[in-house]
Amino acid sequence: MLWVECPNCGSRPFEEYRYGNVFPVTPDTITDADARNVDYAWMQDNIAGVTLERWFHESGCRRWFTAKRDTTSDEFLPLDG
Amino acid sequence: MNEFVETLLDLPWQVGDPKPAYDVVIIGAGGHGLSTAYYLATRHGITNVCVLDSNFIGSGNSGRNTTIIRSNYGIPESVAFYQHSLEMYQQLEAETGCWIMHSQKGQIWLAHSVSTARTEQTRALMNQAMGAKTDYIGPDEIKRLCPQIDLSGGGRYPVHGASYHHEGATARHDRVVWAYAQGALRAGVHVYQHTPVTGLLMDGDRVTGVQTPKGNISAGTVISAVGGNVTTVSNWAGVRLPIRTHALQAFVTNAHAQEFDPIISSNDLVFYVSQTPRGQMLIGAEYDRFASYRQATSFAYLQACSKKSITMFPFLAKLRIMRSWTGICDVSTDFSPIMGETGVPGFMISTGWGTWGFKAIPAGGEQLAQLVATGSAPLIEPFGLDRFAKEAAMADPSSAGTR
Amino acid sequence: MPACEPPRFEGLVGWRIIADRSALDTAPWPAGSHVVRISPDDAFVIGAAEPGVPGDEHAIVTPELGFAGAAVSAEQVADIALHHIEWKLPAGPCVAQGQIAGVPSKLVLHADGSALLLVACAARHELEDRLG
Repeated sequence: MLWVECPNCGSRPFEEYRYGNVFPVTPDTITDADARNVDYAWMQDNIAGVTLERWFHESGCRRWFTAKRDTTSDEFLPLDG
Repeated sequence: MNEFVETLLDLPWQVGDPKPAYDVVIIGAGGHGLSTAYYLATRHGITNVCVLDSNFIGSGNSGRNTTIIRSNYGIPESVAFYQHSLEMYQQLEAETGCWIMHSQKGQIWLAHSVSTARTEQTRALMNQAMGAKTDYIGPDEIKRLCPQIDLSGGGRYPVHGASYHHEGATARHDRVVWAYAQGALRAGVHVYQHTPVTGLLMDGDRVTGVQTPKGNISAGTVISAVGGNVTTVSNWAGVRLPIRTHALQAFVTNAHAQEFDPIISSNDLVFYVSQTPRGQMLIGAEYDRFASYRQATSFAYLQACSKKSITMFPFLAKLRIMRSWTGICDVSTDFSPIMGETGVPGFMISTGWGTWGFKAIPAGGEQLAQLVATGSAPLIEPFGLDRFAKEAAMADPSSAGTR
Repeated sequence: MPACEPPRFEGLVGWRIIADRSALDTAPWPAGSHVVRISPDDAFVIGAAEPGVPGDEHAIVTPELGFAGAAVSAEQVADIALHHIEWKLPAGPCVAQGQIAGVPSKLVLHADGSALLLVACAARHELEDRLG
């Protein structure tokens, strides 16, 4: 069972949450304005490792929050760690 | 090497290490990688090809899917492509001489509401227009095709109708991989298992080969047929992909003596059921909503999926879950595959296979081989990576994951 | 052992307030009203009198008829927690939110272990079915 810590409600099973994707980061190497838009709209970093992402506690307080998670183990890590 | 594969099949494996140079190096010896190599060798006479895999052949998503072959997709380009693949599957045993346990069953997409009934009617008409045999059928016909179904859906999900895809089929996943491996090896292709690619060789902007623990291998063209970890490979070449990796879970029950003919999917409940040749009921659903590289099965998933399938098929409640597995799918942002050129010379890609990769193995390999050999493959042209910049994304409302 | 009596829900009349968290912390609630703090900036105030939030001039105060509630005894809370709640129930007094029997619900826990069980009206019958 995967547990997610909601800052308002505490630890709950992950089925109570909705996943809100990672913060999109367009690399600085892409300089053309149109290319940056395409990258922002479609491309994904798809990191195999620690990502900073948004989660929504749908079944609880119904608030979005930021969480740090390792996508290779699905382990949630402390935000300041 | 995998003992199971070796004892069952007489594959003419290469001995020793890969050569220092090939015309084409393919990363990933799954269905797509091996079929690309097979068609390069058999259709285009390009036999100086090497396929590398970090594990044994078919150890990735080719061994972790639900083996459904169908072409009843939601956009014309997809139907044309998958229909071609479906027809190639029908001929694959005759062509390769390998028994892949191909079994035509018909696939039913159930509609439990007026709005999804309309979706299914649209699907049937659009499929017919593109040459796929799909009809809209009513509840009586569904009951005749599948007597086990509860048409009332437990009182909550009454069946309004369904689209019936006559040529929906299944095949044994590892036999498909072995058939292509055997065909490719016999034609002179080199396949090296347990040879991970650890980096790409670059000459300026151009990809010129791959790095492996067995030494560098230079290549005229490098093709990534990697599943799940494709972003790692594309990052080496500096190619940005619209791919997010999700886990997809499925499971089988113990053997059910009664015959269960068709493959049944539900549009509103989002699950699918079919019977394996051993009599086990194979049940799966959509991929996990959050991105993950972890190949883990969750109790919550098994519970939710069991509940949904029992709603439509009460007899399933008496069965037990015997085995479950999880593949990591490279899901593209518009839910269509990505094949062909990447914009980096010498580097091609076959990815975005999300939950629809197995059914595309023959056509995906054939078309990619044609693109390498001749520089043109009209059937997969709409699926190029450049479609996003051209504002021609291929959002498919009928992929298993698009809900 | 006989199962506990299932909770009996009734529609609640109250006010929904979205406001600055410090304003909600210090708001003078009308006498006899009952405040359920859903999140730092979101409160459900049960009671007929319209509450004011002087600390936040942009506060949104609107009638809220979307919740059904049931008073549950300490024994019922323990029974529900045992059979229907996967997460660890905190000690009262506090608001505990999450899925109960798979339905998004809220338990307003009192110090004596009894509670007010809240659920969205749309999911009330579903929760009743699952708890009953």
